[in-house]
Amino acid sequence: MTQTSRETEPRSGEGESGWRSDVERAAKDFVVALSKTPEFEAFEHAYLRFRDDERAQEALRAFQARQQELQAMLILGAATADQRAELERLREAWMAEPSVTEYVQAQASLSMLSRAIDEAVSEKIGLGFAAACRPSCCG
Amino acid sequence: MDAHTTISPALLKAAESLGAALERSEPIAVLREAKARLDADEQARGLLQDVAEADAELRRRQGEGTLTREDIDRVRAAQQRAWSDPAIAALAEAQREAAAYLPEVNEFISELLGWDFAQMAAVQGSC
Repeated sequence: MTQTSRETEPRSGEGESGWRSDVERAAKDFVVALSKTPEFEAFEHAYLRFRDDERAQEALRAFQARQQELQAMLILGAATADQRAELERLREAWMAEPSVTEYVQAQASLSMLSRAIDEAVSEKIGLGFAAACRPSCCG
Repeated sequence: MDAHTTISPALLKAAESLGAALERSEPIAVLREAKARLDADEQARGLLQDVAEADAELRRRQGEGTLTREDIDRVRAAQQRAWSDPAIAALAEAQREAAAYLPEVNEFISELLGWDFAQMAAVQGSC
């Protein structure tokens, strides 16, 4: 789950000449524009709703606790069918919580928008922006 | 661009401005120049073509199960010739520099957003 704690600042660094400050300024303007989109607002709203939903948090804790208990068995492929089914039930119970469903949908929408933006930026610079930022992927 | 995603004019303008600022940044400008030099360098392009052809042949033989040490050596030799070419080496270095700079920009953006922009763009994506 991703946390939202956006803080945008007014333009700064005008005194710093050069391309770095130009990029920073453009990046700040971009963040402001992105933060005004319905996708961003829905994501932020959904995140806060999920964060404050005690029932959803409890379902998440139950799933994570069981997952941790079974981790070694799962890695070794030694978990029984019943154990795997129990874990899946806990995961489904968590995912079925309305605030989680809303969060997942909001994240998917924001993700689609982010991909479209990434394509626009990448096309401009002739290099995959997001692809270059992934740790174990070829840039 | 995704067929189901609409970018508002304001956001598109901001994204294009960011792209334009990045395009003017030193690492990307150097990369663009290195690409242009390579495109204009017939010998360098030929060396890369040799690598591509040797690599394709290696993969074909791998698939057939007839791969020999000579096939591997042929690819390595073609690669060595390519990497020792100044235009190709300059492009590889420029690509490394650009690929190192972009995560810095993403980190800057992500700190303002409160979530990782590149990671969000990669969710449900392919790599």
